[in-house]
Amino acid sequence: MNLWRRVASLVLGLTAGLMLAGCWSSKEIDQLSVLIGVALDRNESKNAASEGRLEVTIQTLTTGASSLNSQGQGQTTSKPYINMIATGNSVYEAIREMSLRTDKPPIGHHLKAIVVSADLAKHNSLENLLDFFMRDNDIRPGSLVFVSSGQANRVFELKRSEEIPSFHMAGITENRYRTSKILPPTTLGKIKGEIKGGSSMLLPNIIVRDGKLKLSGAGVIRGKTKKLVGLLSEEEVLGVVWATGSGKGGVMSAVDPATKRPLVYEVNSMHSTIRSFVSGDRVSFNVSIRSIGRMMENWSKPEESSNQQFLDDQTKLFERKILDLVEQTIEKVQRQYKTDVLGFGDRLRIEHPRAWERLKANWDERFAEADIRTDVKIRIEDYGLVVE
Amino acid sequence: MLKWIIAHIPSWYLFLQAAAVGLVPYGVSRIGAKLNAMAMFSQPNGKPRPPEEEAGDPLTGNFDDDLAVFEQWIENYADVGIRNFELGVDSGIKAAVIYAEGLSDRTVIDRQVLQALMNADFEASPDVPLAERVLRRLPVLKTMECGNVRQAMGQVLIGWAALIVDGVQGAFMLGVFKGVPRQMDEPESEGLIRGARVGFNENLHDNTAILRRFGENQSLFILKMKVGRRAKRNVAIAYIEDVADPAIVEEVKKRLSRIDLDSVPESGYIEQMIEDSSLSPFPQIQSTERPDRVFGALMEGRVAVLLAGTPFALIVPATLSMFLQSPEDYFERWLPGTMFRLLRFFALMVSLLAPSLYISFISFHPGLIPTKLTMSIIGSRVNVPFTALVEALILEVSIELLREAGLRLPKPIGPAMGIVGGLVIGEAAVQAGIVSPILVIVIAVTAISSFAIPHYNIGLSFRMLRFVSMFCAGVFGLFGVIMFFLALCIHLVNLRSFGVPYAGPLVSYQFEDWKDFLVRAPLAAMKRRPQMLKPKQPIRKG
Amino acid sequence: MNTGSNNQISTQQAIVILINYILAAGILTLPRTSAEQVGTPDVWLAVLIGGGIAIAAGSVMARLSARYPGQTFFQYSSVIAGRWIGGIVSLAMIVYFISISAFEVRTMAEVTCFFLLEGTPNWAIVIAFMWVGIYLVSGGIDPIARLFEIILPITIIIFAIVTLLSMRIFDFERLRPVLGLGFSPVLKGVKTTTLAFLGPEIMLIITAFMKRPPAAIKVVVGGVSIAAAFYLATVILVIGGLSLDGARASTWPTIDLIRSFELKGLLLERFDSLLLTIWIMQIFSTFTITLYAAAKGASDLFKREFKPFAYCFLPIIFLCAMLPKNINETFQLGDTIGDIALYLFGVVPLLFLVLSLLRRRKKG
Repeated sequence: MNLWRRVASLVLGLTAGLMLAGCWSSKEIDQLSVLIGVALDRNESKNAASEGRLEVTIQTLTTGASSLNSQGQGQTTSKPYINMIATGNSVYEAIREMSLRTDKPPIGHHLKAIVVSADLAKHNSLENLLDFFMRDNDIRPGSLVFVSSGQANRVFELKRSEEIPSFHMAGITENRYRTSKILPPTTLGKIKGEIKGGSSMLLPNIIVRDGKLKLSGAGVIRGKTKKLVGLLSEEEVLGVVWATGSGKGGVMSAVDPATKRPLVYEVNSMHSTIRSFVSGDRVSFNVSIRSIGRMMENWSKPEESSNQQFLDDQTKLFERKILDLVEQTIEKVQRQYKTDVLGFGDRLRIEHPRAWERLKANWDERFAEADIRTDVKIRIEDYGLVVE
Repeated sequence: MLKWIIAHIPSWYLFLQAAAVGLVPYGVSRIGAKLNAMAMFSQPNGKPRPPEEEAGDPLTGNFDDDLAVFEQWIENYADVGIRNFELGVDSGIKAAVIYAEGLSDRTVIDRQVLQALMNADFEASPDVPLAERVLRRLPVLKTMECGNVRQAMGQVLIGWAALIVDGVQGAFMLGVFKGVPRQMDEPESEGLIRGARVGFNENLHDNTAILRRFGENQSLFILKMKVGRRAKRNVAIAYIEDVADPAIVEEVKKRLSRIDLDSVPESGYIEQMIEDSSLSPFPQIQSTERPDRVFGALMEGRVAVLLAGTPFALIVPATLSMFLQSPEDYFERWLPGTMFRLLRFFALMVSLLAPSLYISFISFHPGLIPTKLTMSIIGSRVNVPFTALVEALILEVSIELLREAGLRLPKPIGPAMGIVGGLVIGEAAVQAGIVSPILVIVIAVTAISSFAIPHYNIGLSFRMLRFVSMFCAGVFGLFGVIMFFLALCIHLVNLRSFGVPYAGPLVSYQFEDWKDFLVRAPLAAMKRRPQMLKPKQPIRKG
Repeated sequence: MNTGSNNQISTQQAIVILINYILAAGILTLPRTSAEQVGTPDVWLAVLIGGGIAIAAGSVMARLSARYPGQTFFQYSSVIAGRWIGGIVSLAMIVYFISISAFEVRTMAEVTCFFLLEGTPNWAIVIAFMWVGIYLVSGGIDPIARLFEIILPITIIIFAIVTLLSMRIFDFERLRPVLGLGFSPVLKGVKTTTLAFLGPEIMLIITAFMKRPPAAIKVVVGGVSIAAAFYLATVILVIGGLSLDGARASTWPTIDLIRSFELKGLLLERFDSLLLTIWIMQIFSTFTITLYAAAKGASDLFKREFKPFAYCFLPIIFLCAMLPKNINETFQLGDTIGDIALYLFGVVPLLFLVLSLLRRRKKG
């Protein structure tokens, strides 16, 4: 029975091994708290020097979050989330500080939003601020990054407490087909490439107004320093969206100079082509914007909506309006911020790679001097369900 | 350089682990080989069974002596009777019939043996030997002669009647069996919506007869053997001579001849004695009650083994895909057939992996499930005190218990039990916070999926493997599940049934065979028999 | 048993083995390593050229092996170059196979530990992996070929799903300009991309098992081309999805790409689990085939049984895999193996082929 003894010892050994080993990394999902948002602020308290310069707010889901609690015995925890604030000199340090206060370690797999206050971003390189998020193995490159012109952790407190701010933020960015005032989503992964490649970028600005979240404009990050240089207003973001043709929908209103009444154009499609030209060290760009859409609101002359002549006139009007908007925006980023956030450099890299190699070292200066021309052509295809 | 080397010399426990890496699988393989050798003592490497010594008192032809011997024998057989009589009318030739009550048909003995022999005229042609004369006057289809009492008694005990006649050496054995007729009802375990409502029964001849009834076919060969050392039984090997690979037929005969068991009560015994690997969790032989399944397999070039006394026929060689097919796939049109086949493969994967994936996602990889789902799972698990593995085990084991209990219960109570168990206990467990409602869903889906597998056999294998995969998930999460899956696949590709790869036709790619694998191609397109069976005539038609 | 084909593989199976061997750690790292070297979006061209070189080198090896049907390199090398030189080259190859298998195991452990099982010790992951591996290898070439035939379709299907989904963040502009800075950056990346195609050396061994050895060259061309399609798709999608700089800045860019997007409303909105699944399977196949090659080589060289070698090599591979102290040393190990491979399989087989042709001429 030697064989059986050997079998028995083997089985025993293996089970013992398994028991000992027993699920090294296993941690039940309900024993963890799910991190969904992080806000980074400057520590403004008096003893900032000892506490650390950063004030990190993390938002985690509370376990009562689910409505699945079948008995329906009226869960009194009204808020499905909790915010916790910690300070430190680095982000990770501050986040780990939280472990002193909760029995459930936070996990980053479901992080949806990272909000950096404009104040902090002005004085610190984004590369440093986001370094932890880009390195961590749990946090996904799909998380969204915002700046906030106010205090960042204020966006984590909303009036309606059943709403989860981090999810809400992520949700707003999905409305791009309804309005052109939203930039394409700035995910951590995308930002990683841009930070490492040294290109400038825009981060959407999220603020709280009347206890509600609002996307309002954007922060301009200069590629070289990776710091915030300024903010763009909502209108200017609209200009950016038109200039880059990145909108998926939205409306554009104009005022009829004759009647002084508004007209509204709804965008069906939007397209922009940037062509670059190089002569010596001078660069110039041609932005041509094309759009197709429909007339959706006519306060000016409702009776003429279907008149071709009228439509042609209004087309001109909208074109003028868009042109002004785009030119103003370009003017601002070019002259005031001297930061190429519209991807002109990228066009140059694609169309004139050798020139780009030569110019990229101090591209922001070159860009500030560049000559940029814009033309806009739109077509009003139809006028909805009303015919006169 | 030296510094670098010194810095990289691993520590002692690494060497220990390294030793374990090598020695454990070596040990396992040695033990596995030995176990296999032990389990397969009879085949394929085992020696053929030694011929039995045939001894016994010869029948001399002296009626009184012979009768005395028989009477001595039947002292211990209360169910054997002897009837003495005389041949013809006053011929004075003594004779006796020895028969077993219940096994031999009494009316046949009365009319075709006693009546015929008593009324016959034995004076007529005295020049013909007596034995010849007796035979001529017996209106019985099956007769044979037997030289010694031991043998004769053996036959009597399975339903033959022995006739001894004074002056004739040996005994006449008369086939006067009494059938125990049973309807060839549709088998309960393998019901179909469409298809013949016929199933095998316990009578070997009835069973071979159904196979014959599928159509006139001279090349359907049915061979007969006997198995069992103490209680011998008939076993039939059926195959289509000009289709089946002769190597497989030979192999079946060889393995059957090596069976060395006291008795063979059911074809499951044969199955276990002739399968390739008894350590494998998979059935390597298909057993079925459906004649249409057997006949279909025969036409593909497989071999069927039918055992007397059981309605379950065996089909060899079996492949994994066979267990997921149902005759209905062919009876219905090919599109629904294909769809249901795909569904079954899906069900198979679900029943194997669903609980283990649940475990690995819940306790190892919370990052891999959608955020919303995470929220609801957390909400539902707040009060559950167990780890996912324990939680899943509790439910799985109770489901298995329910299933097992349901089988034993009398039919009218069975469904009630299912409802009580499934609904009441499940709901109560959730309410009590022992398990989470999401897990209840997972386990329920798993159970439903495992019922969708058309073969009970293979369902059993996957139920066992499900527990293994749950433990793998409990230790290593998704990685453990992947390793489990790989190990399972390795086992499958190593496994053969009568020389035919068990995983065929999945691997090695035989594209022609894929027409009848995951999909069921239109009948018009299936021109060839499965190539993995190496049929003698590969072309089915056209 | 009644099948004589136990130790023979078909041409299809040889192709499958080759593909599975080539596809390994590279799926996750190639976009980064090649983008680092090339520095322009023309990485995909470098991949194509690398594939071409691999086909050329592989064809030499296939041609060489096809000249000695039924024999592995370890058997015929002494016929060509004498016992000593042949023996030394064979030994070097065995060492190579052992070290590459150790490298793959280590990479697998690193990634698994990082993304799936944080906190589980490396050795536990490695041991579980190797035990399953030896179960396969001890069965010989036939089960290996069959298992690979299961793994490959799974890989193709999941890879196709994952890559198609990643089209959501794909931006064609990131792949432009094509050859903007001329051809020289591409050439800088060719070495890296060629090393991603390590694998045709297996032809030195599996040709011996092929039912039709002359088809070996077809195997090389087919196998490398399909693997190249995988790599090409990976590189293009990663760079188109993450941009060149993003790919350069990620340790495991392909995983980053898959983690960059989510699909709402599906049962699975995250697909890295799928990618990691097929990737672990691919590493598994590379590990087993190299272990097999090493053990087969040793058994042919020393004319002993195969299985004891397979079991003996396990602890050695384990120790080698645990040697690198950090991830940099792991990558370094990979690079060193690659450098050695360039000579061992780029130059040596060519010399052997020439020598073999000369020998025949002398005889003739």
